[in-house]
Amino acid sequence: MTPNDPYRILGIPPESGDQEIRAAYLRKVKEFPPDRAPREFEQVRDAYETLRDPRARARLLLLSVDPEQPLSTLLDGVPTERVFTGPEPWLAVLRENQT
Amino acid sequence: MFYSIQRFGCVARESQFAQLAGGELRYTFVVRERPWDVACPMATDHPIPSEMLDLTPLSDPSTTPDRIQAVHQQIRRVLTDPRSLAHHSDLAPDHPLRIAAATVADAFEAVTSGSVSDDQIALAEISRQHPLAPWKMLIRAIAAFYRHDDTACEKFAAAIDPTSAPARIGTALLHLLHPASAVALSVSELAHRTGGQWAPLRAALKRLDSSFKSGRKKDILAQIKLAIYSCEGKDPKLLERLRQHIAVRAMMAEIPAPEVTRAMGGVSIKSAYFWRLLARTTESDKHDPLHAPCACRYWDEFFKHATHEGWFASRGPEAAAIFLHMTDIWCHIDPDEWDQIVDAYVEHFENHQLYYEGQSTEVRALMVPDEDTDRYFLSPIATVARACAADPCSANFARWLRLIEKYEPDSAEPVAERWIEALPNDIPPLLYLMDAVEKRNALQKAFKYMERAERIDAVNSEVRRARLRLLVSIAIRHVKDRKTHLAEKDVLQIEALPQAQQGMRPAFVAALRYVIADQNRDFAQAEKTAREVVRLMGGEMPANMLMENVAKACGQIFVNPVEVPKNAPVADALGRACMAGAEMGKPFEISPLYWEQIQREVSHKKFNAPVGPLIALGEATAGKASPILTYLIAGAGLSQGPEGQAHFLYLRAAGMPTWAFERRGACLAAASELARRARDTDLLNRIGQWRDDEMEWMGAPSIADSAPMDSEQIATIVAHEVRLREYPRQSPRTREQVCNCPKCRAARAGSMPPGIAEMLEELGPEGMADALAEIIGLGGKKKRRPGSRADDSKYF
Repeated sequence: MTPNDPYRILGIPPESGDQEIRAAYLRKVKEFPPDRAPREFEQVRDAYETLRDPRARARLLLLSVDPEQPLSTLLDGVPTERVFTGPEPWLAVLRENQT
Repeated sequence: MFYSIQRFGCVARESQFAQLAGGELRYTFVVRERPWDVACPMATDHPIPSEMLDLTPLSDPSTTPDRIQAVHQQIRRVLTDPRSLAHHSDLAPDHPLRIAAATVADAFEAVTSGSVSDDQIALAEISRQHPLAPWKMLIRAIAAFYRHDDTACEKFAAAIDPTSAPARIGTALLHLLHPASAVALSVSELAHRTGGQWAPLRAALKRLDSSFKSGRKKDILAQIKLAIYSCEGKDPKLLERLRQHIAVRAMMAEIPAPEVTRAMGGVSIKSAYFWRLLARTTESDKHDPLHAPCACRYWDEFFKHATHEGWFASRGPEAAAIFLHMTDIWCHIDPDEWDQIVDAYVEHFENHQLYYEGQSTEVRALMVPDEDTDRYFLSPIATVARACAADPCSANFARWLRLIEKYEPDSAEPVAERWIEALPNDIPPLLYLMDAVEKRNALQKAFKYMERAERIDAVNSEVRRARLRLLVSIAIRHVKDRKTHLAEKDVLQIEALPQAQQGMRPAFVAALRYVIADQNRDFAQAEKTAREVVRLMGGEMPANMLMENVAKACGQIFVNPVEVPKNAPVADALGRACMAGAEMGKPFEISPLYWEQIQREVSHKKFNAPVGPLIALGEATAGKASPILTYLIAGAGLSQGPEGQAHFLYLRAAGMPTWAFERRGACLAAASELARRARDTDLLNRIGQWRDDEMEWMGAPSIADSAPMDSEQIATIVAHEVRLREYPRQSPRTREQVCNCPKCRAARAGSMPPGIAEMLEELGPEGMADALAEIIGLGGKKKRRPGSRADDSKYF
């Protein structure tokens, strides 16, 4: 998904139905009310306008694939792990500079 | 490197020294000297093992504070492991520094081994001046790293004293957050170990992206193998996606499929996801002349597989969206090239069976033999028809009707009838049929369609206009047939309509009465009605223009019934007449006899005319063989002020030459915005339709997709257009920027020697340039021959 993807803006998966879309929209409007976060509200509203229209949603289904997206974006849904290693690998960074 | 260690005094070897400013000496070997000389602080390029530090001054009560400070500085710079300081033999076990080092070592171990609380890493006893302060910052940075608080991590890492040893780990931390390509081995190892199971795959995918960019086949295949290897055993779905993406990328890089399959360790699954990816990739490759039919073919495969996999139903907005998208792909190509492209595709087309080799039974079940393939996707009209079948909505039918009217006008009426059948309450197809039969003079049939539309929505403005227009058409027809008694009855019906009393319509009706009276040779009545026309039109000249045009519409010869003053302005008079005609749905044509005079009048700096007639005059010239007039009239209108700006901007765009597409686009966008603000849906629809007809093939974004303009932008465009009074001519500088629209290419071809014109037509401008370059020995870039993409199944 691109950053401007309506599903990403509303925080829902692409297979969401009408009810989930509406619920997500209401949630986001509470989070970004127009008087306090006008830019985010506009994004949320535009995203909702796109997704509530079945034809616009259908069109999004076709065009959501970006042929030029880097292959590394295939891991976008995979959480970035940060594994505990103990102190040694960290201290090895200092030791390497000693040799 | 080796260290010269002399714990109790040493001699500095001067040949290895470099004297620096301020008396500081840099040693290539670590050398220690006693007594400690604070005037000559020891500098080193690299950290050293902690046990090599001489910390005895810290245990000596006679050590001066300055000396203690220097030792602390040394510790900051060279300490590589706080644990070693915690056990340093130079210090007593209860020395505060040893205790602090032990605490720091414990905190460092804790933060790198598991989640820690803020209390565990508070290290309150370590002040900012403490020699171990950099380690405290580092510990906090590492804690933030593991909490995925990258902002805090960067903040703490940046706060580490850059001259201290831990600063190097701080730099490594920043690399973990923002990977760089060239890093030390230990940093790379750290990244791998902290990145978990996905780190190798992430790195492999980045390298694979780079290799695809480089285009080197050997490199690409090697990186494919590595990426697949890194992905195996992790997530089968991800592995499959990766194979599909690689397969498509490799195809675009023209790497043969068998080699890619070998590198991947298997074929990619030709599922809906694959076909969609392939279609999107193909349609974006606009250099290939066959990208359109190939992309549409792949979209057809996507439709088949997606409905089978349950993505969506075979009928519905999703299915229609695919067919409409295929239509869009075709409509972005010059229509004159459609036949040629289709012929080339059909000639080189090979079936897609090769795609299905090695696939599962379920996938192969969807394979359609070539001889059974329905090639509807090679025609935008067929694709939009399918869209209407899948999703019979007004917008889809309107699109179908518009397309077919443009390219297959004889088949338009059946489409309108199908529209009515699918959506009986829609008015546009009824009005379309009404117009169509009216043109064939089947006025009674036209009336019936109009009445049907009235039954659905009598107050619809288009329907009301239609009734008026139809009655006028019938009256004119009766006059032409010399059935004046029927024409008089028609005029009575027209006069009974409320809308016939508005605007300049009464003048038109009066002009019609004049023509009837003239045909009846009732000269008294004719004179009376002529005076009425003069009164209603506000002058002899406009009255004469109106009566002349009405007479012409009725097939009558017109003799000026009123005397026209010499040098009477023509533009305003004609504008009024055109406005009267337009209001009755009978647009007039401007005779070429008047063009020069109109041009002179509207080009005059002091020209001023009412907005309504000026717009009508511009509309009468737009789309005809007088774009210069349209351009100048629009300019005159824009100069007069804000009234009617939307219309004049639209007319400006319509009058501009085709190659001035940027100015055209700007004028249209400004016109649309103004029309939107004024809620002038009629004008908006006309702009949209004109834009689709004239500019769609150029690939310009639709007005709906363009960002709305603000008032300042509109004002800038208007001022720009007002300034450019003269009709645009191509400047010498832009002469090379040749417009490739069908009209201009045909015009250019007509002025060339026949042989060259044929070559140009066959090869196109780029192919022609390559051929010429080859002939004269300049070489040329390698160009994919037409049809090579159609034969792309070998890449699978």
